[in-house]
Amino acid sequence: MNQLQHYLWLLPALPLLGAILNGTLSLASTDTPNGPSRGLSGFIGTMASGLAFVLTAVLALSIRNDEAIRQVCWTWIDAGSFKVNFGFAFDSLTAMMLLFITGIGTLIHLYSIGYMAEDRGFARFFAYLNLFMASMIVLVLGSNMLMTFIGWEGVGLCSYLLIGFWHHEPANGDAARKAFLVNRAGDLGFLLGAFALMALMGSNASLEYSAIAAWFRDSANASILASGTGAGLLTAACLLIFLGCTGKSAQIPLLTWLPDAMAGPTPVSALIHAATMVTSGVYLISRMSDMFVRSPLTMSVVAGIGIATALWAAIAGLFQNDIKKVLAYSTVSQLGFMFVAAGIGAFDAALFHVFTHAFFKAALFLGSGSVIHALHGEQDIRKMGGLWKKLPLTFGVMAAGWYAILGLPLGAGFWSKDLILEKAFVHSPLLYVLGLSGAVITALYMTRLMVLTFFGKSRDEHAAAHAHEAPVSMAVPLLILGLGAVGAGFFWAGMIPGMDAFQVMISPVLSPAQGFLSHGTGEHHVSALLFAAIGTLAALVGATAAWKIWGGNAKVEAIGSSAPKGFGAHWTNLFDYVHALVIWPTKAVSWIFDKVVQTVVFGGSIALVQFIVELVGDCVRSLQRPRLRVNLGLSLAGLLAVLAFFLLGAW
Amino acid sequence: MTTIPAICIQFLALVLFVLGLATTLSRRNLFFLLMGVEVMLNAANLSFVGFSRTLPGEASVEGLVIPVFVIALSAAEACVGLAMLILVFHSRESVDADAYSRMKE
Repeated sequence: MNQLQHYLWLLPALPLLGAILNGTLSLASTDTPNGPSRGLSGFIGTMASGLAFVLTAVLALSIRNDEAIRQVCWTWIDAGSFKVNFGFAFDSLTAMMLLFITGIGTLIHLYSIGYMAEDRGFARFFAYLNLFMASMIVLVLGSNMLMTFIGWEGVGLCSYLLIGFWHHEPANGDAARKAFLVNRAGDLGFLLGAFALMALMGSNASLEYSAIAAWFRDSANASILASGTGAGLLTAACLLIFLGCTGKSAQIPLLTWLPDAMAGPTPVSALIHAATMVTSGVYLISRMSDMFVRSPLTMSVVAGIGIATALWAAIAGLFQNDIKKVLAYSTVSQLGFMFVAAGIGAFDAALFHVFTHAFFKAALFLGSGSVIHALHGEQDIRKMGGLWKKLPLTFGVMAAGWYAILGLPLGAGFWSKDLILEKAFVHSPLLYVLGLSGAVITALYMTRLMVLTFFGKSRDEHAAAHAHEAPVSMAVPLLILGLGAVGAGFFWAGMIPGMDAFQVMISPVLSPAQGFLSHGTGEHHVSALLFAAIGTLAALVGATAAWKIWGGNAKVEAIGSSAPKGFGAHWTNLFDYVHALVIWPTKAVSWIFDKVVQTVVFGGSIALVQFIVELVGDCVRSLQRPRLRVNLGLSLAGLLAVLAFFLLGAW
Repeated sequence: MTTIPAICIQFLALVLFVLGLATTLSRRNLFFLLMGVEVMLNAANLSFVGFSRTLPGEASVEGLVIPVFVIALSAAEACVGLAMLILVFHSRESVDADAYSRMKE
């Protein structure tokens, strides 16, 4: 233990302070002609996030991998044996998450200074971004499920606020509400799962992660888990918490909000809807891995949902024409791969993909933001083309992201995605084949995106003529993230001895759970090189096919809106149809409640109460006569009644 | 000298009190209302004095002292009550208690 534990609260407090300051700036500048001071507001916002990053780095360097520093600010709930602290815990898993959250967060704050410069709501934007950072830090730093839930709700709120940032457009408000409501459905699962977990733990109920992990690791509790009720509660808790994860991390069935969330400004898409918030589901499953590994059914469900999402979203990505929508479906698909890894018990591989994905997807999103910025708001890739000469830096960064997500040799995805596929093969060859086909489709849609955007002839000469490279504040984060997209994989380059810093760092947190699973099955030895070769081949096949189809000067006509048509539209909206199956009965039930229960039951009971009150009131009012002798006589009768009651009664 | 039994005094007080109460409840004339109140107060006084004879020591003194206060109080009450009665009579031209039932007008 060291003195630093007293400063854990500063991590969320710094961005929160930034949010308050920026919010004040935003309110104060409402009536001024030019809006808030860009320099001051951007400086506060970026510094708040940057200081949190510095503090995280100091903390991460000062702890050993197998220790955790804790700070209990105060006791929040104290009900008999059940206690919940308002507390933080910082271990190596938290350190890893926080390092890339605050690091990439700071870069995106910096990027936003350039991207949002002409926006009237500049300070409001930074206030929301800082509030998001604070919530996200609470989510991963909280020492118990309730603290995580605060962050969980906080990031949901910020997501809502930022998707609907340009609220003058009604469609953006719809997208924001959709994201919020779909997430609420997941949040309900989170809460119910926590209750089921408390019911399972009985008198030892606690929401502290350390206590939960210890309870599951304690062999004395194995008999409880083996009993019928215990097993049922465990499965219920795991499935419900996983439902919460599907909401936040956009998995089947709660994924429809993420593509719509692209209505927000591009830095938001990069930060919240690609790099950080959507990975919180993977974080939660890893954090509670000791519980999940004891429910084989849930693990199969997680892996199944993951691979189904990965494939479905990859195919949906092929149909999109909006540059950000392609990336959104790509994010959903990559998150699917992470859940595959979590579902087969390779939590470290899942988190490593979270880590590398954060870099290359942020690079891709910020690159797409730079393209949109250059083309003054154009997002339809059918109207782009030939941009690589105009935007060499953006092209370079997006090419790095493309290289990484395809999993070409030595890129970030090469190490993380191949690791997942390798573990999937050990678990089940079918899963591997499906994952590999997902990788081919990934290569297809990503190459299509790159080819249509940057190569060939420009399909909209007017817009392309005015295209300009991004300003410095946007270029610097782009460069750093581009380097990260290539280099982030070397933290766990499986084939190179000694390059496994990432695994060494987080294994103390995850190894008990992973050890529980591999116990008895023994170590499988597979040739990593072979898998790398097959993975690379798959990516090359996809990329070549895409080049053949869309390369050169293939005719791509931009007609109407960028939304897909025909079969593509149905495929894209598949889960909206599924949602409709839930929404219609809900609407029918609400109609019944509105017309029947509301009018008959509630209306009737209210009328009855009113009738009784009126009746009694009328009776009593007839006694209330303006006659002195009547009043006197009645009060005398009352006095006698009270006397009789006390003298003759039980007293 | 023959002593009157204590219980007789209490009976007399009870009869007086009921008479006063009956007057207050049954008559509409305000003068009779005030008279009924006075009768009830004096019935209480009589009861106190009666008890002062039967109870020993200090309690017997209290039975003699309290009627003095009650007499003073009833004098004050009659004073104020009659004064108000006269004032109200000026505006209503009536001593009927029921005629005063709409005082707020």
